[in-house]
Amino acid sequence: MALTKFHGPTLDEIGFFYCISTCVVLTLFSLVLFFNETYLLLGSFSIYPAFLFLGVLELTKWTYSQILHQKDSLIYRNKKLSVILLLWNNLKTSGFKEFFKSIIIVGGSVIVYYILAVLFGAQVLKNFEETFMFSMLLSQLTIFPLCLNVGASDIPHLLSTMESSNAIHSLLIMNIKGTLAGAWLGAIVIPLDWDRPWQEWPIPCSVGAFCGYILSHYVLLIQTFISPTTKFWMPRKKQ
Amino acid sequence: MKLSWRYLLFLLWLSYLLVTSILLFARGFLLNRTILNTKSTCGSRDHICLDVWSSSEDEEVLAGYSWGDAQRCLDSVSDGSQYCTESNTSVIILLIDALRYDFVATEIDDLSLPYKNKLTVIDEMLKSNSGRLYKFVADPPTTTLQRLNGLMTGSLPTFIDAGSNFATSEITEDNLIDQLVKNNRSVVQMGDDTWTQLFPGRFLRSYPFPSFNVWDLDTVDKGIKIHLTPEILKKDWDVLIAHFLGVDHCGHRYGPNHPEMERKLLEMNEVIGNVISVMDANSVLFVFGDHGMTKSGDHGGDSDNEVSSALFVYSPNKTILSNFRDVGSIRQIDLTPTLSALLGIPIPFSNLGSSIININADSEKFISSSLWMNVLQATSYIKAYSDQNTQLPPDSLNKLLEKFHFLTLLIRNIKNNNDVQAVSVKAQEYLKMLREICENVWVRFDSISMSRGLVLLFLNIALALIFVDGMPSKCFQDIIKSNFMWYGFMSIILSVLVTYLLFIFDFISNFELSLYFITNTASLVVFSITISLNWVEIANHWHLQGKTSAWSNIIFRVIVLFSSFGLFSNSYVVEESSVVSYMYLTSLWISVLMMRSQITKKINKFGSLWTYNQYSVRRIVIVLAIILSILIRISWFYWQCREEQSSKCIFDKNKFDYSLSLLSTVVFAVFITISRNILKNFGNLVGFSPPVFISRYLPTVCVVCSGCYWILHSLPARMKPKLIPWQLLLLPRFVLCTSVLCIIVYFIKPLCIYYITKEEQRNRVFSDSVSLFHYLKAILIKKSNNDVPECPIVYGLATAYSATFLNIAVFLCLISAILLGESRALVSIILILSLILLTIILATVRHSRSNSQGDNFLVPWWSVVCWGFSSLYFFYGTGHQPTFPGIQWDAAFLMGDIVSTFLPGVLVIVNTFISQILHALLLPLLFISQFTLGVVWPLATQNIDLKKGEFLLAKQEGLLWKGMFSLTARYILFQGWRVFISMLSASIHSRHLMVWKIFAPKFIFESMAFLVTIPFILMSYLLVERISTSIKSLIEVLKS
Repeated sequence: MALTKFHGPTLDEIGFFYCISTCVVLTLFSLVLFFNETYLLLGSFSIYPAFLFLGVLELTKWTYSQILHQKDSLIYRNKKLSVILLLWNNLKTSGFKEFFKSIIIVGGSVIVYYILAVLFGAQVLKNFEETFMFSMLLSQLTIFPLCLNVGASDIPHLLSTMESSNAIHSLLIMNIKGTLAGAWLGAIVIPLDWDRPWQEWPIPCSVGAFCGYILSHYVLLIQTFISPTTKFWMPRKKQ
Repeated sequence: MKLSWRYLLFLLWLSYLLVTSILLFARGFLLNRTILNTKSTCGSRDHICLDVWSSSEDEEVLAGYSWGDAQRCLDSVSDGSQYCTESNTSVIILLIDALRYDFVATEIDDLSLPYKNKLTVIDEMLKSNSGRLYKFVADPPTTTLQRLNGLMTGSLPTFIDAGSNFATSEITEDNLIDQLVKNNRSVVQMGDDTWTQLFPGRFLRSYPFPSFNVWDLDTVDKGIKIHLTPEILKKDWDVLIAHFLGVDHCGHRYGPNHPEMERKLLEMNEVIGNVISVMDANSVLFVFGDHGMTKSGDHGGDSDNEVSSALFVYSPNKTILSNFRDVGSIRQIDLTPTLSALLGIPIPFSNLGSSIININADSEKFISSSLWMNVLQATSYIKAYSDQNTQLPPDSLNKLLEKFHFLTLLIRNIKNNNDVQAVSVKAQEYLKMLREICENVWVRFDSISMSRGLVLLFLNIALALIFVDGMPSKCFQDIIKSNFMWYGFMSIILSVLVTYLLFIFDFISNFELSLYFITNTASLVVFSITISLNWVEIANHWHLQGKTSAWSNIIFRVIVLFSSFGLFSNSYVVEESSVVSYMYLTSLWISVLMMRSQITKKINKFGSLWTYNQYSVRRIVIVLAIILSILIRISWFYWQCREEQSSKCIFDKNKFDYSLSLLSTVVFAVFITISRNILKNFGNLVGFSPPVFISRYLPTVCVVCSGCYWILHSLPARMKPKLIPWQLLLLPRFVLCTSVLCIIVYFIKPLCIYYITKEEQRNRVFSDSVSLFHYLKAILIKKSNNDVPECPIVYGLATAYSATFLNIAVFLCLISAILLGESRALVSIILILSLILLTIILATVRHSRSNSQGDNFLVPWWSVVCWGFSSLYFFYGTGHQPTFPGIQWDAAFLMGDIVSTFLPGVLVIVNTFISQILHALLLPLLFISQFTLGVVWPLATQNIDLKKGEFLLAKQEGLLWKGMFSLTARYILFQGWRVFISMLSASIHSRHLMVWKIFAPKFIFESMAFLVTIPFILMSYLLVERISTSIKSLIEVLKS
């Protein structure tokens, strides 16, 4: 279900939750990756549990945002298994068409990222596994959240205008920009002749994308705290 | 004076300042070795410090032997006099160019390689113990000329000498050949004609063959083979030199891993066998290479493969042979004193090598031995050298003299043969130390010139940036119109006079460097006075700019900084090809993204109908950008590898076969057809004026010629003999000459325009169908707008500028294709196409961002940066690397075996910097395309009316010249900034391990690229000037 049509404090709240959960969980996650040196596997298929984890995290955030979004609508308040029902209902209302569309968009974005990586200098087919995993990571960090939160049919519009109409959209755009900038910056260490294992393609770029993703969330979090208009963490006044 | 000329003068001034400050730095960085003209002579035995040992048995004298004796000894030989032994040995030298050590050394394991174990004669001789094999280590630079110089003089040519490869000139320093001639020995030389250039008139007989054609594997070797045996049998010579080039040329053309290499080496094997069978008992045979080759077959640098070649010594006379010390590896310059000793001539005065002849003598004989002569000669050389200038550090000099003193003491104490051996080891150590001191010194820099050059270049760039960018355009125009320029040029003339006076009265020693420094300083003073007078305006302008500055500007600044700081890291310089491509693509895509951010605003303003159009424009731009990126990615295929990247980068010279040349011919034909169709569509191919005629017919002729040449040239080698080389070469020569002539014609008559005046329209006689057609067309046009009064009809006026540039681009493309050779011809098409795509993309983006028509006349920095990155990238894209082995020498011989080295030199430079030249000449396209788009693709130009196309340019002259000037100046400053950074990195890393391998060549290539860019960029400015004046005169004609 797309969260496009709504404004107001709820969306700010969802955005805040998004940022704070990503910051906490992914920072810990990246520390784990770093200390057991799993990040060196970022270019091979064997890293897929990490990808799964990222996907699950994104889904959880989305589910929570759905609950938060609809908690005032009273429909599911008293039912057990409300979460599953809510999801099912969402899927039913927005249609399976939307669902398949999202899958196609994510798949297409992997191909687009692959082509981009090749244009920017990756081997065409020689390092297929590495380049493929890199483009998988990028699309998981950028397009997958978009599909969940914006809805497949609205993605082209959002991507072509890059204009944010609400808090969630600006968060997603910021996150795309951060991820891509991180991946771009990551390439800096590749040419250096230090002969370290972490200089192998695509580890620096993947790590850079990951860091850019987390950093953009931190930046947003700080912005939310500084900004004078969003005071939703204050106790709401009862009317 | 016209405004355009004033701007041009300012550009000239700016380029002069930048160029001279670069030269100032280069003079300090690339120091030359001082050449001493003292010659060694044959003296009596007095000159070998005999008196020192006159009473060697006396213990008391030994104790009293003082420091002064060693000094006195040195003084007695300081005029270069030596004691010469008698000798009747004759020497045969077979110099096989680029004979790498592993071509000779036998290894059983790798039989598959074409260059392994082919010189079986050497192997046999070694097994029967009648020969010696040494690893022969050359000093960089490993180019043939420098190596010959080093071999004959025994000295170490410095890096700068590598640049003089084209100006081959006589060796004035003391050398073996001169010594032989002076001592009435005769030398016969055959083979490489570099020898006759180095030593004109010294040889008894000489059989030179041209060395320049690196594709010719056999002419030189065949010539030598005809003369070699008869000459050996004549026996009226003392030294016979035969210099074979086949192996070297084979390496350049095919690389070492090729069947041709096997053939050449077997041929060499046969030659060596023949020589051994006919040589007489008293002669010694030396077979060696002057340098090795890299894995790709090139040379010039200092990698292990390049410096290690082989020396094989053979003599039927076993006693002579037994004199050769049996060590594994020797320096190349060690051959010089060895030969001197063998032939009984004085060692050349500036020799630094140490003889490899064994010493089997008692103390009395030792001091007349070659080794002691060697020590004396080298020590007196270094003393003479340090007297001449202060390059040698005094402490290491003192240490050296102390060692010498110690050595003389040791010699006095020689008692038996064991002592002799011990002393000779010490003497060799001493010579080694001496050589190392010199090596250290000759890579030393003149830090004063360097820092001056750096500071001046930085100040020039900074102040010029304030002029070009910081001043509001009105203020700048006022300055240009005022007397400012005259003050500037007056200051330069005045400073030249002052420098000259100072020079005459001996206040300054180096006229050239002081001239650079003083003129630069004077101009900087003029600049800074002008800037401080206008400071209020500049500050205001900056303030306003800072307010409106967009995020995109910041990103571009970051990209430029990133790319330039990469020059400080050796691995970034090594991998620069991919780094630059990355940066280029990034700046391209950011430009494309910048388009969107502006368009959304437009959508809000103009509503939905407009939105649709703009979206489609943007979609097309994105498609174009994708095509451009793919083109760039394809050109990766043409990259060359550096020696340093060997593990990751694989480049095979033989991957191109003749199907590729067929393909490039077809692609060229298509390209020409398309370009002609474009011209036809915009009316620039009507009529028969010279430029139109040229652009109509000559490209086709040229493509046919070059296609024929490529196909014939890439035929397999076995079909080659039927073709006569010089006739084949006529084709590319024709293409080159025609293209250059055509470009000159475009400068003289730049307009591809056809017009019909009013009178002509009225009273026309139709002589042919073409003119009838034109007349009908004209009538139709007239009918369509009836209310317009009768007016002259001009074809192609709206694209007058770009048509000329397109024509020039076509011819430049042909030139670059010919120069790059058939294997890389396609990349020149890629280059031109990518440039055209880039201009279209950038122009569209600029249109989408422009708010007023005035914006169209100013090319923003990000466009210039994209163009600059493109020029940097295609240096690599056309298969070049900033290393000396990476230069494509093949281009040099396109003009044939012309004795003069000027034309081949120009061809090689044009080949190397073809990308920079193309980008500089086509730079105005960036400016013009803005207006071309109004005619070619009106949809992309938004609501601003540009239907008149480039005619607007000719009408608004003030804006035109301001825009052209700022574009040219920005481009120059961008390139100058790159040179500055490479200078800075070269001076920071001047003690780095890699300085001569990576940073210095990088600096040389960057500054050469800059020097090449400058004239072409001024030419492109001139061309725009020519077109504008011609349009103006055309309008005058039409009005009357």
